Parts: sequence; C-alpha cells; structure tokens
Amino acid sequence: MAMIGWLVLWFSAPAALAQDAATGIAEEAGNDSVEAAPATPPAPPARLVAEDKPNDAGNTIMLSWELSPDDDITLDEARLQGYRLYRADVTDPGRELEFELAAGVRDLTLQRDEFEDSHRLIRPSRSFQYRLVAVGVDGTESEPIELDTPISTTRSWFDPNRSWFLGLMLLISFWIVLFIYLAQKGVDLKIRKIAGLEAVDEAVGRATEMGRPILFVPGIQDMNNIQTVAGITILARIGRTAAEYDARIEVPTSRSLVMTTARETLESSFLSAGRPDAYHEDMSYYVTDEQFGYVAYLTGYMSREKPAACFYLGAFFAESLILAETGNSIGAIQVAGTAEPAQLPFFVAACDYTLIGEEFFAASAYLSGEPEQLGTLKGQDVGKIIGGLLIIVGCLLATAASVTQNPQMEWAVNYLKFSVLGTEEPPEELLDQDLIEERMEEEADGANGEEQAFGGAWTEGNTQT
Amino acid sequence: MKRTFPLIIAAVAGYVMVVAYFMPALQQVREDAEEWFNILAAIAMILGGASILGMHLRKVSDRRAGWGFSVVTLLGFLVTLYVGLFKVGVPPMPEYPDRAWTGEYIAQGSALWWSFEYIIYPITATMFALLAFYVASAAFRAFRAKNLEAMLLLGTAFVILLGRSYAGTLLTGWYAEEYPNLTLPGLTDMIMGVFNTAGQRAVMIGIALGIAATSLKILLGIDRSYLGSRNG
Amino acid sequence: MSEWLTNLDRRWIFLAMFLAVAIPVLLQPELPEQPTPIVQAVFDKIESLPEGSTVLLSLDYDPASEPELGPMNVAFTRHLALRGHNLLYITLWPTGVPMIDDAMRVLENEFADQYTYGENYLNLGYGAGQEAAIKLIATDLAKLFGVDSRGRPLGSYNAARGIRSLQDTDLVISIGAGYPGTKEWVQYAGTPFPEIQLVAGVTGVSAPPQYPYYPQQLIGMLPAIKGAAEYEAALSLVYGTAGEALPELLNESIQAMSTDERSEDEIHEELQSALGIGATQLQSILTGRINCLPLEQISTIAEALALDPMVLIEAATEDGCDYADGRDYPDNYLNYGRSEFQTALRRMGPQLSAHLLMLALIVLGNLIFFLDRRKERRR
Repeated sequence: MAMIGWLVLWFSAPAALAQDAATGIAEEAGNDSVEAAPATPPAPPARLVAEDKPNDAGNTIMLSWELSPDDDITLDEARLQGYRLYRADVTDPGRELEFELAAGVRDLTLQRDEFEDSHRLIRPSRSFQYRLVAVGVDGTESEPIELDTPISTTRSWFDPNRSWFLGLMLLISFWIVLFIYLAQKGVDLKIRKIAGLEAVDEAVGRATEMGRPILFVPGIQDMNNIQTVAGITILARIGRTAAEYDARIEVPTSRSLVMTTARETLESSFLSAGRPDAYHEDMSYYVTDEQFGYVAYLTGYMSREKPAACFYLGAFFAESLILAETGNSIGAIQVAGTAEPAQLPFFVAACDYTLIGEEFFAASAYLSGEPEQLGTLKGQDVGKIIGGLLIIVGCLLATAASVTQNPQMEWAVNYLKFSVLGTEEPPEELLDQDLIEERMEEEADGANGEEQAFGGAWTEGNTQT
Repeated sequence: MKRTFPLIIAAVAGYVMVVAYFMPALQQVREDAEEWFNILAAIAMILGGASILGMHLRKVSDRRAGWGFSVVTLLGFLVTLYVGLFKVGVPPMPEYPDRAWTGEYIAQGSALWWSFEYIIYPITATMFALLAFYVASAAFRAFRAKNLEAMLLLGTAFVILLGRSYAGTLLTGWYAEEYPNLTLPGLTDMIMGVFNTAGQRAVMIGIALGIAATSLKILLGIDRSYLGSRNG
Repeated sequence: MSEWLTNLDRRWIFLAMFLAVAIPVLLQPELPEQPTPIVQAVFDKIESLPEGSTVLLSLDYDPASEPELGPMNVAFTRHLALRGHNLLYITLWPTGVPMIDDAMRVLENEFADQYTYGENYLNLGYGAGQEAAIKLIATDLAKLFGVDSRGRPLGSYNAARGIRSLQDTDLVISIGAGYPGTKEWVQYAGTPFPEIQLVAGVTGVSAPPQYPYYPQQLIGMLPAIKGAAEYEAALSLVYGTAGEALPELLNESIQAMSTDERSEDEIHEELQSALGIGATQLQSILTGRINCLPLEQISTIAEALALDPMVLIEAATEDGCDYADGRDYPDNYLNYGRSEFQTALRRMGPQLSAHLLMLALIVLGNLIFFLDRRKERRR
C-alpha cells in the first residue's frame, strides 16, 4: 500500500520536480556568485607526525595527522577535496628549502589521516621535512602545517617478525646438515625403495633394445622453478645411462633457459659416460612458451616417433593427462614426477610409475646413491616430525581454547599462528591479553542474539534449497 | 673452473636471497637478483628463437620427412615476429593520432590481435578441450576396483562426478531440506573440504620440505647434477 | 563381445564423448542450480561491499581455459557493475590481455550509461613477473601498473583514486587457470597482508589444491564451471526477474491498438520516438530482455498506449520488479534471469552428460575387468 501511495506521489510530481529544478538552478547561480567572491581557505589539519617505518630498508616514512575541522562527513555539503602533502629534502642545511608534492588529493581523500611515503628519494642517510595542507572544493589550500622536527629513517638489519621463521629454518637445516655429516662418517642410512626410480634403467634399456628414442619432458616452467631444477638433475642421470646404452634421447623444452641448461647437463652426462662424441646440441631444443602449442608438438612427436620411454619430470598443469594418455596409447613405458598436487592423479592413472611430490625431490639423491645426498632425505624426515608436532600442538591448543574459552589459551593459539608461523607483524588485538579478554566477553554477551541470527539464516538457506 | 664458477654464482645468489629475506636492508639486492633472472630469461629467448630457426632450416635444407611443416613453422614464426615487433596495423593512440607506434601492440584490429583472436584462441581452446576425450579414455582404462583402496577411490569418484553435476541435485534434492549434508552435492563438498584438504596439506608439507632440502643441497654444492657433474 | 570390449579402440570412447557433449550443446536443456556455501560466500561478499568500492580483478588465464573461466569473468563483471563498484582489471598472463577485453565489452554493452572508462573502470593490462608482480603491487601498485593499457598515468583516472597498493582495494578477485594464479595470490597477497580480501574462481583441475585456503585465506571460491553456474544462479535470484507479464501486456495492448491504418510497426515507431530509444531497445522491452523499466518510461508508454500506468507497474511487479521505497531502475536494466546471460548454466547440460558417460565408462571398464578375472580363474 505504501508503494502505491509513493507511486501516486511520483506521478503527480512533475510540478514539484520542475520547482526543484528551478531552485537548483538558482542555487547553482548562487554558487557561481560565491566563487566570484575571494575564496576563504579551509581550516588546516593539525598535529602532523612522522615515524620511520620499523623493520624495513629505511625507505618508508609513516605520516599521520588530525583531520581538518572542515573534513566532516556530517556536513550537508563537502568543504574539502582532500589533502596535499609536500616533501623537502633538508639533509644539507645550506640548501634552499624546496618542497615537492608527495601525495595529492587523489591519494589523500577526505577522512584520510595517514600516509606511507616510500618515494625512491627516501634513504637512510637523508632527512625530510613535510608540509600538509587541506584543499578546499574550489582548490584553495589551507594554512600549511609542518613536522616539529625533520625526520630521517634508519635501515633495519634484521626483521624480528621473522625470527621464529629463521629459527625453524635453521633447526631443519641443522638436522639436514647433521645427517649429511653422519652419512659422510659412514653411518648407514636406510632409504626405502622408490619403484619409479628403479624403473629408470629398465626404461632406458628397453628404448635401446627397441631402437626407439627416449623422450624427456622437463615441464612447462622456467629454471626459477625448483621443480624444473629437480627434473634437470634427474635428466643428468638419464642422460648418462642413455649415453652408456647408446640410446637416442630428445629433450624438447618450453623455455629457452631450460633448453640451454638441458644442453649443458646432457653434454656433461655424455662426457662423464665417456661418450662425448655421441653428444650433439640438437638433443635439446626449444619449441614454444605457449602451453598448448608445446603440448601439440609433444603429442605429435609421440605419435610420429613412438618413443619407447617417456619421462615427465617437472612442473605440469592441464597438459599432464594429454601427454600421459598419448604416451600410453603408443605403448611407451612412462615415468612421471611432479610437485603439482592437482596433476598427480592424472599421472598416477596413466603412467607406469609416478614420483609423488617429495619423492620427486628425493630422486636426485636416491639415484646418486651418495651418502651426503641421502643424508638430506633423513634431515627432511626430521622436518616432517617437527611439522607433525606443531600440528598436534596447534590442534590441542585450538581445541582447548575453544572448549575452555580461556583468554590465555586463545593468546597461545594466536601466538602460534601469527608469531611462530607468521612472517609479518601480527595484528595487535590478537596478541594483547586484555583485548582478547574484552572480545571474548563481548562474544559471550552477543551469543544469544547471534544464535537467533544464525537460525534465521539457516531457515532461509533451506527454503532456497 | 667451468664447474666451479657457475657453482659459486648459484650459491652466492641463493644465499643472498635467503639472507635478504630476514634482512630488510638487503631487500633491494634481493629484488635486483629477481630482475636479473628476468633479464637472463629474456636473453635466452634469443637462443630459443635461434634454436627454432636452426632446427627447422636444417630440416628444410636436408629435405627430411615432413620438411613442408617446417616451412609452415618458419613462416608462422617470422610473420608473427614481424607483425608483433613492428606493430603492423596498430592504430595510434587517440591522443597522438599522427604518431605511429604509439598504440598498444595487441590493439584491436592489429595484425597480431587478429592472429591471436582467430588463430591462437581457437587452436589452444581446441587443444585444451581434447582433455575431455583423454579423461574419458583414462577413466575407462584406469579405474579398476582391484583392491579396497581402489574401491574407495571409485566410490569417491562416483559421488564427486554426480555431486558436481545437476544429477546430484536431481537424485538427492528431495531430502536436501532435512539432511543437506547427506545430499550428493553436500557429500561432494565434505569430501573436497575435509578428506581432500587433509590429503592436499600433507602432500604440500612434504613438497615444501623436499623443496627446502633440494635448495639446501644446491646451495651447499652437494648436488651438482644440474651442472652435469658425475654425481648426478 | 568381451574380447571386443577388452581391446576397445579408444576412438569409440572419443566418439561417445563427442556425442555426449555435442547433443546437449545443440538441445540446450535448462538445468537449475543452487549456490553452494563456498560460492554463496563470494556472492555475499560482493553484495556486502558499500557502493563505489574498488575491486581489482586479476584475469590469469588464457584462451585455453576461457570456456571454463570466461563465464566467471562475465558474471563477476556484471555483478560488480550492478553494485556500482569501481573495477580495475589486470592479468599476470601475457595471453590474458584479450580476457580483459571480454570484460570491457560487457561493461560497454550492458552498462554504457552508468560506466565510463577511467571514471568507473580501468584496464591496466599485463604485468610481468609472475609472483614477484603480486609481491610488488601488494605494496605499490604504481611500480608495475604506473600507467593503464592506454599509456596514461594511473593517477589521472578517478577509478583508481586513492588506490596505491592492493591493500587499498576493497576486494581482489583472482580468476586463475594455473601458474601464476590463485595459489600465488593467496601466498603473496592474501596471507602476508590480511587487509587484502581475496576471492577466487578456478578451473576444475586446479580446484582441489585451493580448497585448503577456504574460508581463512579465501573468503569464497568458484570451483570450475559448476561454480560459475551456481554464481549465475545466485545472480539471477537477486537481479533476474523471471516473469513475462509486462511484455505480454505490452504486446497485447499494441496488438489491440493496431488497425488497418495504423499497423503494429507504426505503433512501435511511435513508441520509439516517444521514449527516445532505438528499435533494438524497444525490442528488448517487448521480449522481456529488459523488464524493469524506469518509472519515467512507464508513464510515457502508458500515455502512448492509453493505459493506466499503475496497471503497467503491477505487471512489472508481478514479474519481480520492485518499485517500493523510491526505488527506480536505469533504462537498460537487463533481466539477468534470462538464459542468454547464463553461459555457465547453459554449459551444465554438456557437463552432466559428460559426467554420466564417464560413470558409464568406469562401470563398463570394471565389468570387463571382473569378467576377465573370472575367465582367468577358470583357466
């Protein structure tokens, strides 16, 4: 009914609208006349404070201020556009003060009372003065305010927010190095058999017997991806076996840098196998960076040349199944390894052997059989134990915190989550006991109301289903 | 020397990256190292281009089987390179109508845009779509209920395949109000959110440790197989 | 028979898959969808942002994944534009630039009146450097996107006002098909900078590894084409009006008014000139493509067709439009409940039949497996 009433009003409104429009025009004219008069500058902001941003390279200054009294959202009409911040380098006392714009009204909009200045000029050895003005709607600037004393920054040599992370890293590295040391001393380290790696020699042998080539695909990522590096380390071994057996190996790549690395690796492998004469550059060649262009080439190559063994070792994405299924259809023996969890199921389904995640990284050590390298695998296991312990402690703490509603427990959970496992400055309210207590009390008070709201949402959800 | 020098470069760059992570003062050095990689990769592109040209030109000159395709590849490569580098057909920016080359290299209507829109677009989409066929043939061949684990996997596949399509709503929608979590879409969400997440996390932790150990091996120079050393 | 099945040529399976996809594509069955919580969370997040919020969309995919992710891009763009947010588009894939153009086309075609380039949306183009690019813009957008795709400095546009880094945006939407994609956005933007709010749309293949991030690091996610379809369903629940009452009433009135001297076409032309619109827009109104008209247009139409405006309002309200409490509509308020706007929902038909075929193949494969095993045992 209310709607009908409103609509009737709307349809009878043209006259009123016309009147409004007329008033609007008059007002605009009025504004014009105001503009013509000398503009009054807006009220300036107050208390400009600057601080050096902690834990950085000394290249950021944090500024804050109190809003201008004209910056009031309850006013009918905006009086300001925003603020302007000027910066001057005052390191050399003899030089004339030259202010330049650090941030304009587009950045310092209304209600904005802080700014982080990380201009390239800001360096630890220099000091700066800042000047802030409020800018009226007509562009007039207020009286400027300045810092009491110029600010200079310091370079910080260590980020304390990352100290836990450093500790954990050193702890795991220590165990890895310790096991390397023990292995060198002759301590026997048992490593379980990895079927996929046992199959490498078999696959190369088969290719030799059949007189067909071996295809090695190092994934579709560049050398800055550790999976590509891991793939190339295995290529070194496969290349050597191929050289020993006198089998033909081809390494088409989707990145130029990978091609050059693969060439270097193959050359050395052939050299170490005593067959430098058998090596030639065209064993590894670049195809294209384009993912599916590369796939088209590989599947085409497989269908034409019918390689007897296919190795897919590196970072793979949507192309994994296309490659593995094509390889399967030509009856090649296939070994895959990747650390892309999403692609593992495809490789497992279509390949003879798959190196799952960490097995792939362990491959190089496993194949080399060198004690130092095997030591790293044992060190990794200690890392897993540490990870497992952290998970158990975290689960127990979080469960205890939610059951007991104890602020200390809540603090411990947050500390574990944000300080121990985090690498950035944790939000203050999560690690302040009093604030946690306050929040918990508030939550307890609001629990009834929330329950109702939740019930409501639940029913609504069900109706939609 | 040929081995030692790259080893030193790899180790120094690696240590700098690690140390700089904890030392804000070295942040710039770290960013520079990252930029160096991009520069190297860009230079390597020239080697890649040379590799393509060399390989296919040899194939054509030797009249090896399929040399005609190499001619097509070479033409495609050179034409794309030309129209991209020289911004063929790129209209100038509206602000500078009399200055050629001010427009975006892939501006609508340009030759490169045309080749992208009407050649690369459909071809890559087709290649990706082939996945549907391969998934079907893999499902037919690989999903065998050989043992208990395989049966569990099979059961999960059934729930997900039905739950992820309209069939899930159709088959179990009638009791969705009473037991929303027991419908096929509900079960799918639970499998993905609980079992899958747990498994994924475990795999991810293993991978992360593997990456750490591999990096350490390379930094310490224990694993030199990427340089083709004997220990590979 | 068993022998034939055991050695089944793969091409039969390929043919079956081709038919399973092609037939529903041609028949276009309409299958309703219900948004699941993970999708609804994304929708609710965008609904809850105050009008004029700034949202950055990173379209990190290429033509290969366009059929799966394109509908998400379009649905997000529509929803954000309907809510009146400012949109910044980037891509971390060199082949992703045309994907931004797709979004631009939606804004130009459907929101031309409300959305202008530079004022409300920007195309910042491709940013090189993969995850390093994300790290960079998390603290300073201008370091990588100092200028937009037209080469003008970012500061000269209102759409990017006050946005110095990702931390100043109200929401970041990552639509990703691989590397760099959603995982990198979570690792290098969402997690280290909790003020960066992140939602995502991902391909089916890459969805499982992203689930661990929901709901802590990702507010919500659209997994695969199904997620896009659910999102379209959520969009049509709020912004779609399914009824046909108003177009029916208009067509009937025009038909009733037409005489030998004054044909229907002539009435159409009269209406066009009275409303000041073109033939296409009138056609959109008469077919229900636009069915919530602005009140001004309703009064003009009512006058031209000699009808009571209240009757038209009632018909529109029956269709689901809401004029209560001073609400009015723009003159191009499209009906997002129509299937022409629901690309993903239309693709659910082929998806259903492909899934059913896969199940059938698995069953068949197992049947052969067990038959073979029995034969072996007998031997």
